[in-house]
Amino acid sequence: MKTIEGVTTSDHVQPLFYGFVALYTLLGVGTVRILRKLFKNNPPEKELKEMGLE
Amino acid sequence: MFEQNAAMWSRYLTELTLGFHIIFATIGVGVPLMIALAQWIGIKRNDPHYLLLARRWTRGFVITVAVGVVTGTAIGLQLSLLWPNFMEVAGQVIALPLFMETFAFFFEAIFLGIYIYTWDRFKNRMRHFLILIPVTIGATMSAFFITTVNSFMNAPQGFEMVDGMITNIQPIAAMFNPATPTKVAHVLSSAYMTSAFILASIAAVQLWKGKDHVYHKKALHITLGVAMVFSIATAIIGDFSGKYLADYQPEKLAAAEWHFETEGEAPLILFGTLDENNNVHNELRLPYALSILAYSTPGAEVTGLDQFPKEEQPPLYIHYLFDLMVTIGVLLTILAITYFLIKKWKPAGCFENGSCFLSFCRDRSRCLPLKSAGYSLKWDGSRGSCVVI
Amino acid sequence: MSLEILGISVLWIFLFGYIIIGSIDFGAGFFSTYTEWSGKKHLIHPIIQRYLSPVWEVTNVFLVFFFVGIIGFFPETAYYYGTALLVPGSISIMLLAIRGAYYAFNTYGGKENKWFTFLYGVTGVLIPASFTIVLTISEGGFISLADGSVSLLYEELFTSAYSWSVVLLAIVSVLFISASFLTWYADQANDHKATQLLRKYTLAWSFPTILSALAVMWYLRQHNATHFSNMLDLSWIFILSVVAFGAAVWLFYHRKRYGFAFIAVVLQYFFAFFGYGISHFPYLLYPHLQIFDGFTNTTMAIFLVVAFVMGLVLLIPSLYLLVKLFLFNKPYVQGQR
Repeated sequence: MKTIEGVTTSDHVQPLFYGFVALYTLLGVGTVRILRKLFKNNPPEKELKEMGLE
Repeated sequence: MFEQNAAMWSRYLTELTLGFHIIFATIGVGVPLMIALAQWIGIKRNDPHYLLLARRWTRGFVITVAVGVVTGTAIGLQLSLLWPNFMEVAGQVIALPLFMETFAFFFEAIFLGIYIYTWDRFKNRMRHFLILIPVTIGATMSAFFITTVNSFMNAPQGFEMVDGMITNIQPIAAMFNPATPTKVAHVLSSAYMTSAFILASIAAVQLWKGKDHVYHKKALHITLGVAMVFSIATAIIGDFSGKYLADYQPEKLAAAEWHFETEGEAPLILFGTLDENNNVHNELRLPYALSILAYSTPGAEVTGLDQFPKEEQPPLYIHYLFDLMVTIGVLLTILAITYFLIKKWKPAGCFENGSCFLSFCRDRSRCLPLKSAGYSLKWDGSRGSCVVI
Repeated sequence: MSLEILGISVLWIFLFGYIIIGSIDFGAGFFSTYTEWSGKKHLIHPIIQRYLSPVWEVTNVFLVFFFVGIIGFFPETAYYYGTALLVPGSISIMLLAIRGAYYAFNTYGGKENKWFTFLYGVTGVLIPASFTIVLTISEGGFISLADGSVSLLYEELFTSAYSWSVVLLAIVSVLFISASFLTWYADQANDHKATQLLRKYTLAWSFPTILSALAVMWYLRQHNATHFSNMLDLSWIFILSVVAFGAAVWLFYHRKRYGFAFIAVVLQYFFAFFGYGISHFPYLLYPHLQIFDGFTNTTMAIFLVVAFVMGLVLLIPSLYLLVKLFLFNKPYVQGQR
């Protein structure tokens, strides 16, 4: 079986593709931003101090 | 043409979702192992640095898992939405591992939920560590099951085609097809390697920025340790994959290596460019290397693309993706080994731990996106051949 | 029992499970947002957070499990539903993605954003509404099979009173199931203010579920008379459903035994959902696809059943542990852990 025989017969795939590009862009940017914020505001040095270890 | 158009965009959309999901899936498979290792060392040595490491990794990990759940649901649904005719046929043979993958992820999700909300609930720290084991197993098993599906698409077996009807179905044989061992080994070992390198690059960036807390040094040390082990493992598995391809999918090997004519003592073409007449320029030729890669002997005959009709040849651009992936992999392996060599011998001019190493590789921060790219490329490359059944 | 019936029963049970825990999740998101805008967020937000945080991924897996399972047991559904649902299915994926992103960024990342919370709350009603399309088109009349390709008749779908009545039923049910569960959960936590507010929501959404269910039946009679008469033959199941509903409302109204009251709600939906499913039998897609033609080969079916049983052996103790640690654990529920 080749790719062409397995595919949907719907003709709406192209706009959906752009929709998903937008979705993944937002998810990707959001993930990077949230991770940076989470760890920048709370470096391990600070956490160790709070635990009373340094 | 209308049909052509739907196929093209469906393909792009599937590649997009897979390419995006694979980043999170890789982290999802590899990072639990790293967390488990750090927590284990932390408990055994009673070292709060390692425990904090495990905790901080978990905090980041849950965010990537949540995104991975989203993209995983997307790819799961898209398989049926975009390839309904394929799923209708292939579902008859290969539904079993897809079904079991859901169970494996189910298992992982339950224990991950428990793990992240019970850090301080158990008096015995070892109990909390034990909850991580099903998470790691679940993650690895779900990668295993899903990779068997991909293997099946590369080396379908476990059924017979009689007059266009699928009969004599053997789900287990379909799962454990010839492509399964090398593919599963490659996916798992490169996922562990990638995750270790991602975490190593975080520690490295901190050290490079001038933070010299021992916490970061410990982080760099264990992550690069794991990274070295799995990058060497990945290289060895890569060799087996070459031999598998030579036996079962010679057209894919030939396309990836730009091997046009069937010949013995075949050289390996590294890099290079292709002109419109399929002549290779600017390449690096390693004599006998392709024969050795494919059959372990310098004189072995390697099937070239000339043996396949034009419409069954995979696209030739996969050579670029393939070479890029291998190059990145080799550089990363060298990087990890160099770190340990420097640590062992401490050549003149090197300070303790990783500081000299960091000046050696000043683009560590750039290694992170590069590695993710390498992994996505692998996927696009392997899907370059479109023949499914 | 034939493998076909075993397969569809297993899937239907899982779908029912998803409907209950999914409704709790979706409705909780909606209430969380609604109270934020009406200034009562402080009352119920902590309760909702404490319940949802460890379980939302598990909820999501129920859904994945269902659609992977149905393709496994009935591969032909991929052909019909996969093709017809490309657009609505993709929209559902995007709505689910917004939800997942909220958990990733707000719950785990600790980033509060009012608009994002609003979007999250709205998905709580939009997702169930979008899912109803699957059940609606299964009644037939919304799919054309012209020149060998399946396509969804959007105009018929969007102008059908039946399809909108199902949407309505889905939304009110989500809110009712969720509110009834959260009332009980808040009561467990000894949070009286939250309990009272949620009890009010439960009662407010209780009768609309019955009214919209009647509307669905009414329009179903016009849309698919065969199915409707099958339902009448099974009327005892629907009567049991109404009895369970009555018991639930009585208990909630008299502020008694919220745990039993929630179980009564589950039973109400259990009877209604299985009554609907059994009367739908044997069609997966009326009138094109029956479970006996769309079934996978026997070998695969046996393997799937075996895998399913082995999976349950693993999952049930795990789920028990999860429930024990986060649902029936007083100190956790009360926020002391």
